[in-house]
Formats: sequence, C-alpha cells, structure tokens
Amino acid sequence: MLKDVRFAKSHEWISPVAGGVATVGISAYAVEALTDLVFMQLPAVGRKVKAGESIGEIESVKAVSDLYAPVSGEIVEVNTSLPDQLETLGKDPFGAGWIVKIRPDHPAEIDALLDRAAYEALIGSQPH
Amino acid sequence: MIAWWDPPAEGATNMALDEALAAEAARLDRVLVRISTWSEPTLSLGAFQAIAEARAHRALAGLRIVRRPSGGGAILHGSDVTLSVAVPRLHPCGGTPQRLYDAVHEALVAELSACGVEAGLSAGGARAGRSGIDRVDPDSGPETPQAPGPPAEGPLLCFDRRAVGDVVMPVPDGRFGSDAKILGSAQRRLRGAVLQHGSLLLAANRLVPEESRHPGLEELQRRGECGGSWAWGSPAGTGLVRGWLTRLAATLGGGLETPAGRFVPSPEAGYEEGLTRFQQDSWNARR
Repeated sequence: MLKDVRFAKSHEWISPVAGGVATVGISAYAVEALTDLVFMQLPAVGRKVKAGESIGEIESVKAVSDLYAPVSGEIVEVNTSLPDQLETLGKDPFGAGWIVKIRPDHPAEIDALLDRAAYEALIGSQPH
Repeated sequence: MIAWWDPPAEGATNMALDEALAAEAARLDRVLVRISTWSEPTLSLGAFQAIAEARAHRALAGLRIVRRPSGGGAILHGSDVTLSVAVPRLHPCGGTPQRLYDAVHEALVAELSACGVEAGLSAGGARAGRSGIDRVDPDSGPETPQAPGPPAEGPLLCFDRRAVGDVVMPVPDGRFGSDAKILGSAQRRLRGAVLQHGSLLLAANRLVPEESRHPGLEELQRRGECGGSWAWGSPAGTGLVRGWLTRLAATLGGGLETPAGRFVPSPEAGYEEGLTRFQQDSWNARR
C-alpha cells in the first residue's frame, strides 16, 4: 500500500480510495519528529471537513501539533483505540496507526498531493 | 528577528496576541518575538490539561485560568516573564521541537553565565512533583472535584516537570533536590509557523504557599555580576532579558529589531477571533 499513498506537505498520508473511502494517518517522519507522544484528540464521526482544516491534535512532551485533513470530505470512521495506544503511531504509522477514514468529496484531490518520491524529497529538504 | 516588549495584559489577550504572532511569522517569513507579563495573577493551562485538576487545589483557588494553545504543564504567572517566539516552519529551527527549544534555552544559559550566574540544561527524566500542587489536597471538601488526569500525564505545574533542555540552577539548600527549574517552554506547531511559549521564573511566586513555592532567580542567585534584584522591571531583570534576546537573535539569524510600541497584528492574523475563543469556557474548560 505504501507505494500508492499520497502525502500532504503537513505530513499526513492518505490511501487510494476503496469503496468510496480513503484512510488517513501521519508519516513516520512526523511521528519521529514529535517524540514522546502523550495525548491525542480525534474528530467526531460524521464531521464534514475541508482540505487543510484541522481535524485533531497530538501532544508530545514539548509540543502540540494539529492534524490536517489532506482532502475535503466526511469523516466516516475514527481509530478510537489510538489515543490509548499512542505507541502504535510510531510502530506502524501506515497500518495499525491509521487515524481516520474519510469519504472524499472529490477523489481527484488525492492525486494532487505528493507521491512518495516527492514527499521524501520534501522531508529531505526540511530542517531537522 | 523582531522583538516587541509588550505591556502587561490579561490571559486571553496574551494568548490571542501570541497566536497572531505565529500567523504573522508565517505571513512575513520572519522570526517574531513578544516579551510579555501578566496584568493579574493567572494560571495558564497546557493545551490538554484537565481544568478540574487545577480547580482541585486550594493553593490555586480563585485564580483566573486561561488555556494556552501550546502544550506542557501549567504556569502560575505573576513573578515570571513570558517569551513567545514564533518561527516559520521552514526556518532551520522550525523542524524538530528540540531545535527551537535548545536555541532559546542555550541563549539564556549563555547570558546568565555572562552575568556570573551558574545555570545549565536539564537531562530531563524526573517528572515527580515537588511543590505538592500536583497532589489533590487531602482535606479538600466533598464539593472539590477530584483530579481526573492519569498519573502518566505528570505533575500539574510546569516547574515541577523536567524535560530535556529545561534551564536549571543549583539550589543551595537542596530543598528542591539538587537543582531548580527556572525556564521551561512548550510549543504549538501550526502549518505555517511554530509558536513557543517560554516562562522565565525571575522570582518565587508569592501567590503560592511558601512550603511549595518554586525558587526563582531572585532566590537562587543574589550576587551575579549584573547585581541587584532580578525581578521584572529591575535593571538586572530587564538587562538579562535584553541580553537573552540579543543572543537568541544571533542564533536564529537576521539581527535584532526592537520597534517602539506594542505588537499590533495585521487584520488577517485573526487576533479578534482568537481573543473571543480564549475568553470562552468552550476553550478554557474544554478538558
């Protein structure tokens, strides 16, 4: 699946649409940069979001980061076990560490996001 | 780097100005800093701290409470000075959280050293409360809400916590262990900028019962080469912050500009919307 996911510049990933729904998470790079996660707040199922809108927050020991919707659509499922198992985000960010499932309003928005090569180029250019 | 020395303000105003500072840093692609104090004793909660935990303590009763957008532990403002630093995300210190944390804290340690004051960076690890404010009052009445936060969330107060890179000073009487924290910081990482709040404890806060009061610079070091009181408004206290800013500007690049007057955000920075939010229970009591 990893080869087919797309990335937002704000480090969220989104899977291809299957059955009208795409899965969203955050990249291993983002998890590693935050370090020592302590709290997570997730959106409600049924919420309509616009691309770039904050859909949740993650707190680490020193920082709070917003999670942004990579595309517009409706939140149809939330990984409710994640806040109690934050280590999953680091262990399996593209699998069990998924965050929400979204029904995109315009699936073509996904194609406009970064592919894996472009995302790796982006994080390679970012300050560490 | 542009730094404004702002007049004292109440909590919601300070928070709204800081969020606007981050928006302006992203818009202008500049490092922006606001030095501020608080016009009334205020407890600022970290972004996700439970407000019931703060309300459960008699030592904090009656205080105004505002929730910060940044993380970390609660700060009891009154004898500290707040340094709000907003850095564009693509700035070299906008990457991992530790980079900006270290830049701000190392600049203070260097300036303290120039003043003849011994200070260093914490190795982190210890998260046990020392003031006693992290524990619910044993004799609190039945109407007092119980602290709901799980132990893993750590002590309520920032100055009871230790993170890697916190600025600490040795304590002569050893009452707070071998050292005491005098500067802690926490961040809000937004799409366009990182906002970092730092609280420098210039003197012990007299709102806190003496037995659980954290010592500040004033109590820990009375005889630095800078001399005199470290309290806000004193020559030593003001000079320390000025020197700290100069060193920070050298680290973050671009020189230091200190315009006259207060920070005034542009209309697109969202100050008014932020002020409304920080004044409401829907934000301040959201957890």
